[in-house]
Amino acid sequence: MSVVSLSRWIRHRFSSPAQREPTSFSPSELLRDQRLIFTRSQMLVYAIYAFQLFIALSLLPQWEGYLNRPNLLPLWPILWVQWLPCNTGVFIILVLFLTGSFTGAFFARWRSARLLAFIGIFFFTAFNNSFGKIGHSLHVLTFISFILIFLPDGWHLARQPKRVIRQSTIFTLWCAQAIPLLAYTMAGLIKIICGVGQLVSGQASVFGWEGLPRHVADRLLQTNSEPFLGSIFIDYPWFSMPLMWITLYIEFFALWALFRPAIQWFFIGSLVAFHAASFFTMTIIFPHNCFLIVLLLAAAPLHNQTWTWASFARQLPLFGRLVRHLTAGT
Amino acid sequence: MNAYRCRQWALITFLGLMFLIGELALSNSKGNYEFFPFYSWSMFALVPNEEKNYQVMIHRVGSHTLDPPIDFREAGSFAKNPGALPAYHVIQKLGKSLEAGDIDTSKKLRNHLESTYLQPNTSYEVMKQKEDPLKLWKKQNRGLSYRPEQSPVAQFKTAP
Repeated sequence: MSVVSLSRWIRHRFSSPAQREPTSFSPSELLRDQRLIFTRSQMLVYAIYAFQLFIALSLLPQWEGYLNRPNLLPLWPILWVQWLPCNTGVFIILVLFLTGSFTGAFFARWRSARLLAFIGIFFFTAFNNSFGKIGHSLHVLTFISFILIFLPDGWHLARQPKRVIRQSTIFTLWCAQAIPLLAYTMAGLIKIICGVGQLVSGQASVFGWEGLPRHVADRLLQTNSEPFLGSIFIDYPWFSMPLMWITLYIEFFALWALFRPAIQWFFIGSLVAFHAASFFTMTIIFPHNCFLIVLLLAAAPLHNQTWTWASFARQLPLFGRLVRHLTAGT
Repeated sequence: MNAYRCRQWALITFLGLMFLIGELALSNSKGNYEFFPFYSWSMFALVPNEEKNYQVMIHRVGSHTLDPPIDFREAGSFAKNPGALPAYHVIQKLGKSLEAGDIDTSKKLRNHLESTYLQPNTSYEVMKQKEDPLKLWKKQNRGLSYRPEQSPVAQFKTAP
């Protein structure tokens, strides 16, 4: 199978049938759109590296704490720190993260700079998760930093480069968009599979009324905390469970939003709201992921389609089919 | 094949690998269901019904005897940062390694737990517990009558 037919197959599976109806755009309009989207893609690259630099700089006050943090249980990318004198390896990791982020922010036109930026954040993420538990706050940014290594030469040119360079840049950024959405879809998929398994075996599951209250209760016991929505979600499952089912739908179909521009704003807004609610319920927050999905899909989307309520309804996964049947012939 | 098509293949393959390796990582129970940095994103996938987990019960801190022994999570000033989630995970790994007879791992984890989260001269016990989290939370916050099953795993004392 060629990559052309593979991409067409993927686009066909994930897009809405409404999007496959013939359009009336002329080649010059499509080219003009592509130039506009390419300019947005360039800005997105700079914004992503600026964000990485922001994170590296905001961690500077914690360097002393990192250097004195005991009981490092190094993950595989940083096993080499054990062979260096005390704290030297940690210092190298921190300097690499700062230097790589700086280089990425100012010299992203060169592939070697982007590679250094990735190595910096990769080693830092490994280090930060080498103390007994792996957190996932920087995983998405690390993967995006890896993807951006593959930007084509000439992506940074202010005067419009060749069409193939523009398209390669847009495609690379589209893959960067896919990273967080794929992560959400994987999260939704595994929840559904486990939910079906637990339902079949007669246990409380995400499809029953106790799913979210049990999660919240378990989390509050682990952390011995009392966030203000926590007890409400436990005591009133008729309120919390529908929110969980909506979140499950949004998570599972997140990757579909990549191919359906009219629903992107709704899915991204819902995911950010979900993260905010998770903080007020279970004191869990992913601010880095929220920033990235808003930046990549809401602030500078890689499409020029204005949405309407009709296009929104038709492009909703599952429900869009129903809407199209109901409105067929109108 | 031209550079554009090569790039398409490489990036689509990477996305596919992110999905496949992430899902395969579910088989890596020792590594917390991930092959760093690939993860299954299986957070809160299983609804906790009756859970088997491990707790640390503190019996004595210095000259202060705690009767009845208190759960590490509620130890307050008798421990260091008892509400920290990494502490909970270290205790789970310690309990599993003790039961599995993995002396090297349990020694490393014990050192980590004692130096990071416990006060000097603390006598503590690692317990295996079967608990229903919803009932336990309601017991602590809504006065529900409930007693989880506990069985001892090992007893230790931190250095002075």
